[in-house]
Amino acid sequence: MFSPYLDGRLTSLERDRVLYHIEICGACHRELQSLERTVNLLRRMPMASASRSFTLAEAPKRSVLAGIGNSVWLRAATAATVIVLCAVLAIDFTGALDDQDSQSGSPVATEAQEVVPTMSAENGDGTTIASSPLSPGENDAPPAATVPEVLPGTFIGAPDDGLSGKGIEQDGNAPPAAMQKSTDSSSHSPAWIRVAEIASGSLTIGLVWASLLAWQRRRRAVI
Amino acid sequence: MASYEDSLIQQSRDGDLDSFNQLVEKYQGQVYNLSLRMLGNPQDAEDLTQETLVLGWKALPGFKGGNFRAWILRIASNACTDVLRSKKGRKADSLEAVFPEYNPLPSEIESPEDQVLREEVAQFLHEQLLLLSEDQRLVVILADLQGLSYEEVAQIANCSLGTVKSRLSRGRANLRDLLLEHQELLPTEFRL
Repeated sequence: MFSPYLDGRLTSLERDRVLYHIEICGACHRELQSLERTVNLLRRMPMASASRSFTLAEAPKRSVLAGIGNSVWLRAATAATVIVLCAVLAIDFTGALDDQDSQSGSPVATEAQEVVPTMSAENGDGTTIASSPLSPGENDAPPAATVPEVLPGTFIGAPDDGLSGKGIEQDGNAPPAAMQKSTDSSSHSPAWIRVAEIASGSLTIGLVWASLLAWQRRRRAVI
Repeated sequence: MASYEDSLIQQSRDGDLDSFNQLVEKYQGQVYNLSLRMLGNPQDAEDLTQETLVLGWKALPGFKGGNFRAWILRIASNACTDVLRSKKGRKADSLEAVFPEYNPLPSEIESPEDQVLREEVAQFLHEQLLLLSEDQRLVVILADLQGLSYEEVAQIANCSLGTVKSRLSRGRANLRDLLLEHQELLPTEFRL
């Protein structure tokens, strides 16, 4: 309390309390006096003079990082590339994209889904059930009778339209088509994933290195 | 409207060495004195001052504006911390108070005897300051010897105002205790 009092950094209420206390307390009064004398001695201490001037004879070379050392963009870009790298790696290792392809993107799955309204429409004795496959309710939870059963020897995949005439025959020994697709894609990721991994990895290494250099410079030079 | 110092900073940032040297001439005394009181040795202080100013030139493009004095003194204070940290590993090279040179005041203000007395007291204080911890020494030097505000000290020491107040309070109290222990070495009129 005495130190800020000497510097005039107390509120008027605090100052009054100090003044009141030193009136009644001799020990604190002496302590304040000795502290005040110490501070006065320090304030009267002369400035030392160096034996030479420190002006620079020639301009030292500046680092290219000097101007961007404190850049928010550098930190944001580093964080963004790290996130992108993690996302790409996660996609690659979990095969999330491949599963999605096999479920909705591959011709096999798409065509298999398209079989559903066809079979349901021709259910029973040949009468046509006039319902849209996309009508609410039916699409979310189709009745069990409308789900096509994939039996050995039947064709799934591309319908036999008379043009291609080639499906994948289920013969009991071969794995289902969707499973085949999934197994293949987990061992052979798309090329763009590899390119993305290499690109984001290289960018991350470069930006992390630049950030570390900038941090080191900032620590010493307040840039 | 930009001040003259702001324009010097801008020109220095753009690579004008003459402008930077004008800033050096203005602040080199404070940088040198901070280094001297922190390290205790004039030779080390001169080396560190030069290093600080070279670092300041290199880092100037990243200067965000504001208080240039606080900025350059913070570079010096960080450099002092690095030197002191490296010296801690070498016991034999511990802090040693070497007598620095002082600017004599004009003879009409101060007699030669008074000058000797003043320098003796300064040397004694210089030695006692080196016994404080680094944190306390830094804020005492900046606030009491260099007369900076608490806000500037907080900026240079990279700490809060509350920390500055507490370090200054403890630093002054510790220094007072040291002076009381050895006050027979002080001239009578300077005793506490």
